[in-house]
Amino acid sequence: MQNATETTAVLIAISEREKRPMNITRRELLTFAGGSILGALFTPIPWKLLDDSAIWTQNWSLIPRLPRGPETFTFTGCTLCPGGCAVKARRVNGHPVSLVGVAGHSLSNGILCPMGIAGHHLAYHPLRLRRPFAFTGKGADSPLVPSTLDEIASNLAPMLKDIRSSSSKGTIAVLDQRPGRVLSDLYRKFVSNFPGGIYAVAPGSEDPTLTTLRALCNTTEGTLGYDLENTRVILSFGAPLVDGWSTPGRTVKLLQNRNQNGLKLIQVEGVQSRTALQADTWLPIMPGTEAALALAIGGVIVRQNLFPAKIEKTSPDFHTYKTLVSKFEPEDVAAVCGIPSSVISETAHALASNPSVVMSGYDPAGGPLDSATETVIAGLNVLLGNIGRTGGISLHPPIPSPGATTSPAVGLAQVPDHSVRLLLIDGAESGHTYPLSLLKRKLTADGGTVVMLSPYLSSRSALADYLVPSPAAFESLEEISTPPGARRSSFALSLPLLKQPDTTVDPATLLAKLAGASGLPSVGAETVESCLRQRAHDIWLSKRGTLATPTGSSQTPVMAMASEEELWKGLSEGGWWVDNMQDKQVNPRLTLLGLMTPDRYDKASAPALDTTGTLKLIPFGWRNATMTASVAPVLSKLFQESHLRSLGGRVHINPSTLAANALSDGAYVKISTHSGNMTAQAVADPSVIPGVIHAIVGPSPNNTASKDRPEAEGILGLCAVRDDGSWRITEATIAKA
Amino acid sequence: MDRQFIPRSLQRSSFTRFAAWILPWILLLGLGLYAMYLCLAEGLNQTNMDNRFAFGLWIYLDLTVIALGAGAFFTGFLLYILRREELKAVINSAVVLGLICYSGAVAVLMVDVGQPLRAWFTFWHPNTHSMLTEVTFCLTCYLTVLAIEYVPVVLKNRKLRQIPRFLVFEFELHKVMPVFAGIGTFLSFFHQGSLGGLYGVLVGRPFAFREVLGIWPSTFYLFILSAAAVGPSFVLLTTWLVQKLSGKQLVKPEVLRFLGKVSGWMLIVYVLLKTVDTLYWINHTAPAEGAPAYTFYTSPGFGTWILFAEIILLGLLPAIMLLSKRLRERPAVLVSAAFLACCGIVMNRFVMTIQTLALPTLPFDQMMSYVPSWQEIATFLAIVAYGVVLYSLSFRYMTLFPQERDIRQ
Amino acid sequence: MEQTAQSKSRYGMVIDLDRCTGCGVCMVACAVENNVAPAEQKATERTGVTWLRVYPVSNGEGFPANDSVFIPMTCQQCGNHTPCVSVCPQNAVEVDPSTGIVGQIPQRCLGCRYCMTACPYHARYFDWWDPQWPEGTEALLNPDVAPRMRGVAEKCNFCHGRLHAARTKAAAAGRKEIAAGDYVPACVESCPSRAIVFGDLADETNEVSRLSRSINTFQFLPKLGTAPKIFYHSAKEWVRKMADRAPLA
Repeated sequence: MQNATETTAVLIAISEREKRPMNITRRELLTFAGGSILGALFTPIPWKLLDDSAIWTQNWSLIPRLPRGPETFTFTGCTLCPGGCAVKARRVNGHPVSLVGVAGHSLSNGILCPMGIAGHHLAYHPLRLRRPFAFTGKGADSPLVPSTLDEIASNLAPMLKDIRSSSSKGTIAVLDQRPGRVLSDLYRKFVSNFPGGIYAVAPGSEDPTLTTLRALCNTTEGTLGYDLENTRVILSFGAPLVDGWSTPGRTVKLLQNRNQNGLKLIQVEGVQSRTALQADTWLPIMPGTEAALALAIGGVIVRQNLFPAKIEKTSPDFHTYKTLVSKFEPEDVAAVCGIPSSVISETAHALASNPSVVMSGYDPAGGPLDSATETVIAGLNVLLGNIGRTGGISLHPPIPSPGATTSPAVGLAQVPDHSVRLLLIDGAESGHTYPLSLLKRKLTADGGTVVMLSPYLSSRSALADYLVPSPAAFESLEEISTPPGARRSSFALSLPLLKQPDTTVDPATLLAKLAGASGLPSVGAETVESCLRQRAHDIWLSKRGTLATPTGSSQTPVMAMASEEELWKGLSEGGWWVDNMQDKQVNPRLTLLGLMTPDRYDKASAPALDTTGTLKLIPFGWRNATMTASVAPVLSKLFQESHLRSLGGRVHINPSTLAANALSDGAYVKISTHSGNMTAQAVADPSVIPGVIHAIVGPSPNNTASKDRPEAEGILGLCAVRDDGSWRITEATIAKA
Repeated sequence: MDRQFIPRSLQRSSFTRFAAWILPWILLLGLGLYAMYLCLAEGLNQTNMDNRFAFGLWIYLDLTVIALGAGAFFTGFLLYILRREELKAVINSAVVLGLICYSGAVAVLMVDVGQPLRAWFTFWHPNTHSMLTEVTFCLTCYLTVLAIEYVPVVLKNRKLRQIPRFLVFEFELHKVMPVFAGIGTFLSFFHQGSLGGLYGVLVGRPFAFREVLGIWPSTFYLFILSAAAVGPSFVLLTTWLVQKLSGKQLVKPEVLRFLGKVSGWMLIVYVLLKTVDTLYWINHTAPAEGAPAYTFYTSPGFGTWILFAEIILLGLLPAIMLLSKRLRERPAVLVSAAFLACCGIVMNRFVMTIQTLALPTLPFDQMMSYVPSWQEIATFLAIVAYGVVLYSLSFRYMTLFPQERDIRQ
Repeated sequence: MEQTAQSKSRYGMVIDLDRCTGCGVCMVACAVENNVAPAEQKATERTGVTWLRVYPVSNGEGFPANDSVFIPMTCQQCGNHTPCVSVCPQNAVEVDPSTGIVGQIPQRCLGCRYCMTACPYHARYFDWWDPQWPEGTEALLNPDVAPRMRGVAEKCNFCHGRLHAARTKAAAAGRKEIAAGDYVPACVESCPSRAIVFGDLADETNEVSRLSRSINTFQFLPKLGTAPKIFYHSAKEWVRKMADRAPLA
C-alpha cells in the first residue's frame, strides 16, 4: 500500500512538472538546428541526394530508353532502288538497329549507300502512310480523308467495268517504276484484260542506253547489260557511276581498282559531279550538245577507219551515218560543246583501241537526254562493235519466267496523251522523279482517276485520287531482280525486318481487289509472296544458275538441288541466285541511227555560250533523294546539318553567270520559264558550267509537306516536257526575287 | 513614406519619385527573367550561339563586367592593405558595384551552361589543369567575400542598426574586414587572371594563344593588370554618374582625382606590357602555330585598326590624360579619360572572346559572324536592370558615400 | 591531359582524300551507330550534330579548272596536351591510356562549351535541342551507345561501343587482345571506297601505321602540336598545299 502511495505521489509530481510550459530558448533552438545540419553532413543523406540530382539529370523522360534483348543477324536485301544491294541487319529484340553491306557478296561487294544504311528508319518516316486515303480534290493543297481498300475498290468498280466494255472514254494504265519484277508481270497480265490497257514504265526505271540499244538491235529477247568487269574504257554521258548508278558496289569497286584493272573512265557532264571528280578524264560539256559530241566522236572513228570492218556491211544505215558524221568535224563541234578537238579525237581513239562501253545515264531529276541524243550515244556502241563482245554490251537470257505475258511495255512518254482514264501507279520507286505534267497529260481531259500505291506521302501524290499504302522498306517480302546494266540475270529476296502494319496493302492484293471489282476472274497470285514462290519455282525448273550464300562462302548450282524447297530455303536465308546460261546471239544487222533521221541533228542548234538573257534550267538530283518523303530523317546529317548534299529549293549557278545577272551568292532569285516561276536560293558554284541553272531537286525540311498534304513539286513544275518525253533543258530567266 | 529607412541627414527624393525611377528597370528585369526562363525551359537553341560560336554575348559581357567590377577588390586593396584612407569615401559603392557585377555574371553563367543542375560537378570532379575550374572556384569564393563585405553596409542601415546584435556583429565584422579584403584581393588576382588564361591557353586558337610565363599564359597577368587599371576608372565613372543623376555631390573631388591617378599608372604599365606581349605574339607565337598574324586582320571590319584602337586610342591616350595632374583637375577630362579606359577594356574583352571565335582555324574555313538573339540581349539587360535596382536601393537606404554628409550641397 | 606516348595502343586513321567520293555514307552510318538524332526542324549546318562531317573544299579556280576534294573531319584524338581534355572544368573528357582514344562522358558534361572553343578541328558538337526521335525509331536505337539529352557536348569516340563489344568477345574466347577485325568503327566499315583505314598506330607493321608514314600523307594543323591521330593522304598537290596554308592566308 505504501508503495502504491509513493508511486502515485511520484506520478502526480511528474505530471505537475509536465504541466509547466517548456522553456526553450531561441539559442537552444538555433543550436539544435545548427547541430542537426552539421550532423546531417556526416550522414549519407545530403550526398546521396546530391548524387541523385545528378542521376536525375541523366534520366529525364526526354531521353529515350534503349532496346534490350537478344542480338541476332539477318541477311536480307535493300529494295529502295533497283540496285538491290545485299544487307546484313543487326537486330536487337527482333528490331533492326543497324544495316551494313555484306562483305564478300559478289554483286554488291559489301557496300550500301547512305539511303540503305538508314533504310530501317523509313518505316517511321513522318510522311509514312499507314492506311488508305482518298483525296478530296486534286493538287498539292487538297487534304486527305481516311478510306479503306474495299471502299476504294467499290468506288472504282463502275469505272473498271465501263473500261472493260470499251476504251472509247479512256483506258486503264499501270505505271511501273520498277519493271522486271514478277509483280510487274502481274500488272501486265492485269491490264491485258482491258481493251487498250497500257503497261507503262516510268522514266529512270531502266538504263537509257540499253533501252535505246534494244530498239537499235531490234530484239525483244534477252536482256542487255554492260560487261564492265572486262571493259577498259567507259565513256559516260552523265551516268552517275560513283553516286547512284545500278548497284554501287559494282562500279565503285571497279573504279577503286583502276591501278590493277587498267580501267579508264571518261565522264561527259556539264557540272563537275562526284563521278566527274573521280573520272580519269572529265569532259565539261555544254548541256544540250551531247549529240554533237557523240557524232564528232563517231566521225573520227569513221574517217580514220577505227571501227570493225564488218560494221560497214552489217549496219543497214552505215552510209547515212557516215554522211551525217562528216558534217560534225571536231573543230566545229569543239566551238559548240566546249570540248577541244584534240580531246574529241583522243576519246575516239581510246574507245576504238580498247574494249569499251559508251553509256548515258538519266539524272534522277533531270531525266533522259532527248531521244535523238540517246540514239547516237547508244549508236557509238554499235559502231565500235561493242554489242555481244567481251568488255562491251552483253545480251543475256532474262530470269526464267515461262508463264510471262508478252504484252508490250511502253515508256511513259510513249503513252498517247489523254488516253488514260484510270491510272494505277506502283509504289516501288526507281529512285528517279519526273515532272507531274508528264503524267498529267496522259490522263483524260477531266483529270482521270489516279490510284497511287505508295508507302510515303510524296510530291507525286498530288495527282492522286486515292492513296493505297504499300508496305514500307523492310516490312514485307520483296523481290530483288536483276539490277540495271547487270552482266547476268540475278534474283534474291528482300526479307522483312519490321512488322508490317495490318492496314498496309500488298500490291497483289490490291490487284486482286480491283480485278474482283471489274468482274474479272482472278489475276493469279493474290500476294507478292506467292508471286515470288512462282519465280523460284520457275528458276528451279530451269536448272539454271547457282545460288550463293550472302557472303559468297559457298555456291550451289540449282541443278544440284534436290527440291524446290531447298532453293526457297536458301533464298530465305539471304542467298543470291545468279544465272549461268550462255549469252544469246546478237542480231548482226544493227542500225546506227535507229528510227532517227539525219535532219534531227543540227549542230548549229546549240545556242552560244551566252550568260545573260536566257539560261538553261536543268534539274539535278541524287538517286533516291529527290523527295522529302524518300529519305530517312537521319539523312539530315548530309543535307541540313552539313550542306554536303544540297537541299531542294536551291539552284547552283556559276559565279560569272550570277555576276552577269547582277546577283550575289545566297540571294533569293525568281526563276521564270514558259510554265511558270518560282523563288529559289542561288548558290555560287564554280563547278557548274556558265549559262546553266543547276536546280537541285531534293528533300527540303521547310517544304509544305505534312501528314495530310503532299509536298509541292518545286522546280520540276517549271520544266517544259518535249514530245519525246524528255524535260532536261528548259529555257529560263533569273532575276532578283 | 520610407523616411525611417533612409540614413539621417541624407537627402533623398520622395518615394513616389523613386518608384517612378525604379519601375521601368523592374519591368526590364521582368522581361529579362522571361528570356532566362525560355533559355532554361526550351534549351540554348533560344540563343544564336552555335557549334562555331560556342561562346557568345554572355561570356563576352561576363568577362567585361567582371573586369569592370574589379574596382571592388582593387579599391579594397588600396584602402585596407595600402591604407589609402581617402578611398573610404567610395569603398561602399565599389563593393556594391562589385557585388552587382559578380552576382550578375554568375546568374548569367547559370543560364549559359547546358546543364545548370550539374554546376556542382566542377567542385566534385575538378580538373586542376583547367582555367575554368579556377574561375569557378575563385568566382564562387569571391562572391561569398563580396557578400560578406556587403553585409556591414546593409547592417549600418538606420533601422537595422537599432537591433543591438546587428550593430555588434557589424562592428566585429568591420575589425576583420582587412582580412576579407586581403582574401578578396588574392582571389581576385586569380579569377581575373584565369579569365584571361581561359583564352590564353587555347593552343587551338592562335589568335588568342599566348606563351606561358611561370605557369600561366601572359594573358593571365595582362587581364589582372587591365582589370586593376580599369576598376578605379569604373568606380570614378559610376560615382560621377550617380552624382549627376542624384544632383548631389557625393565625394570630395580629390577622391576622384586619386582614383584617376591610380588608374592612369596601372593603365600605362598595362599598355606597356600589352604592347610587348602583342609584338611578341605577332612576331613569334602566332607564326609558330602556323598562323601569320596578318591573317587575323584581313576580314572586313576586323582590320588592324582594332589593335591601334584598343592599345593606343583606348589605352595609351586615357593613360596619358589620367597621369597629368593638370588634366585630372578638369572634371570633363577626368571623366572622359575614365570612360575611354573602360571602353578599352570592353574592346579588349570583345577581341578576346568574339573575334577569337569568328576567326577560322581550319584552312578551308571562312570568317564567321554571329548576332545575338533577343533572348541573349534581354538576359543581359536583366542584369543591368538588377544592378540599377540593387544600387538604387543601396544608395537610398544605405550610406554608400560617407562624405556626402560632410559636403554642403 | 596525359601524354599517350606510353599508351598500349594508339588507334588512328589514315583517310585517302583521293578515294573519298563525298557520298556521305560514313556520316549516316556514324549517326545510326551512335544514336545521333535527326536534325530538329530549325537546325542548320552550324547547330547540327555530325560527329563525323565531310567538308567539300574547292581549289578556288573557275570553271572548268575547278577541282574539289571531300574532307572527312572527325575528332582527331589529339595525343599531346589534348586541348579539350585540359580545359574541361569537370573532367568530362579523358584520354584512355590503353587506346589513346579521347572519350567524352556526356553524363558528366556541364554544357559550358569551353571544350568546343578549345577544339581547333571543330570536332565537338553541342545538343542545342533535345534530340527528337521520329515516333517508333526509339526501338531501332543501338543498345551499345547511351543517348544524350540537350545541353551537353558530344563527339566521335572511335565507336567505343564496338571496342567494348570486341573486348567482350575476346574475353569470352579467353583472349586478352582483341582481334583487329572485330573492332571497326562504323564509318570505316561503311565507306564504299575504303577511303578510311583504321588501326593501331603503335603497331608499326600494320597498314595504318605504314600509310601514316607514306609520301603525300599529312595532317591538319600540325604546328599546333596537338599530335592528332588522323592522317590524310592526297596525291593532288593543291590539296596538300591547302591543308598547309593558314586560314585566310
